[in-house]
Amino acid sequence: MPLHHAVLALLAAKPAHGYELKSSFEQAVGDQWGGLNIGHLYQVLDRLSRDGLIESERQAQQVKPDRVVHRLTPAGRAELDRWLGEPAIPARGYRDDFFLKVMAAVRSGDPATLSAVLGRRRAHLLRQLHALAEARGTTSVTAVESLLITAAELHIRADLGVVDAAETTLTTDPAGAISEQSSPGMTPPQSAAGLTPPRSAAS
Amino acid sequence: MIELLGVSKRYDSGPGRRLIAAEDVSFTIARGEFVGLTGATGAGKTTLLNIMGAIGRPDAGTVRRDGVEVTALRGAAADRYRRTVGFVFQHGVLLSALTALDNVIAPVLPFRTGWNKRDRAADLLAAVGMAGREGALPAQLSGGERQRVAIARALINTPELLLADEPTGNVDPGSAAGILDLLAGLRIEHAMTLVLASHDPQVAARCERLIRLTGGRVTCDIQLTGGESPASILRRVGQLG
Repeated sequence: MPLHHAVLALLAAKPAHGYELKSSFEQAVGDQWGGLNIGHLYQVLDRLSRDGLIESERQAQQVKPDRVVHRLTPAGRAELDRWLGEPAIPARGYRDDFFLKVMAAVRSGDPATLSAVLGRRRAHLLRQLHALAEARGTTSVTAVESLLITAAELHIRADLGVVDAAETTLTTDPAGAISEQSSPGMTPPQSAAGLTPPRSAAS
Repeated sequence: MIELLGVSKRYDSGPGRRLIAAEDVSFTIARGEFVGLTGATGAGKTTLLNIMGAIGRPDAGTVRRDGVEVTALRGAAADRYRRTVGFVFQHGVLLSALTALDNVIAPVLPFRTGWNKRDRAADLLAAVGMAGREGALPAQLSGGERQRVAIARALINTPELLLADEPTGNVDPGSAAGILDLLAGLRIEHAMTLVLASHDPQVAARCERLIRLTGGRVTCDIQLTGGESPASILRRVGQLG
């Protein structure tokens, strides 16, 4: 759970209360990440406290309501170090709605359906890239925000590469796309029964 | 406004082989638009730029700009038309014996102009961030700097239409971002129509409209403005918590 560890990292610097954590997190990763839901943050703090990774102490305030200050415990420090020492493994995975749509389009047997699915995906990804390029150009981005934008851009570029690969393999040999005998790879099959006209290239 | 109507172009590519560079391409670009032509190498991007700039001629179809049939122009009329178009190529081809300033002036050297060419060239070099480098020879400039000089040269005629073919294809990523900013800024400042060809999606994403070519055909024509907000994209890509 990455947010749990992000909270531990923020508390490693100094004890803080909930709203302080929210604003220091948002400051650290920037607007581009989006705001942090305070309700979610309190759930995370409860969990960390229950696991003995932080200590939470209620402090009375004269005018305002009491506030709870959280600090890292030695166990919390150890957990933070353990997490930092682990390689970061993407949790996102590669199964998404797009693949299911491609599967459905291939099964439909209609080349226009498949090319429409691929075209819409491409257009969507390109719009996202455009929005990120604008975000990079217009806002005063911090180094961490800029890295986030780079990460998103690289993901989107990879997704565009998948659309390219799908166009190459599936639209030239849709029959082989779901048959078990054929193994559609990154190279276009030498099929004469392609659905699209043979591609010619010129520069 | 520039209109392409049923433009087709094929090249001989050896005995019995014809490469399709453009196949029945039709689209309209309004004045002031910032359009990207994208697609794999060989998809026909350069061919279309050349045809729009009257450097190349299609086998079939017509190109009109502001009512003038560009594809029908010949000789001096075609030359006059070309002088209203600015070209930026991938390699920022400069004349090696001339200084940066003289390279910028080169396109207008044979013509009588109402303005001082050297002053205008110096202004343009300053606009592309090359102030102080007027006397440098191409060999003394980096790839990114040569491309900036090439952009200044493309602007010497105050073109209404700027055609850029892989303008960042030959420079490092840092300079590439600067050159794209420069082109986007100049386009707004000079109210130019900008058509940029690139196979790089990152570059294409800077445009406001994207036309994708596959094997010489238009396979996608989309507006890129008004997409998902960057914050929501990053949330999805990042998925923290």
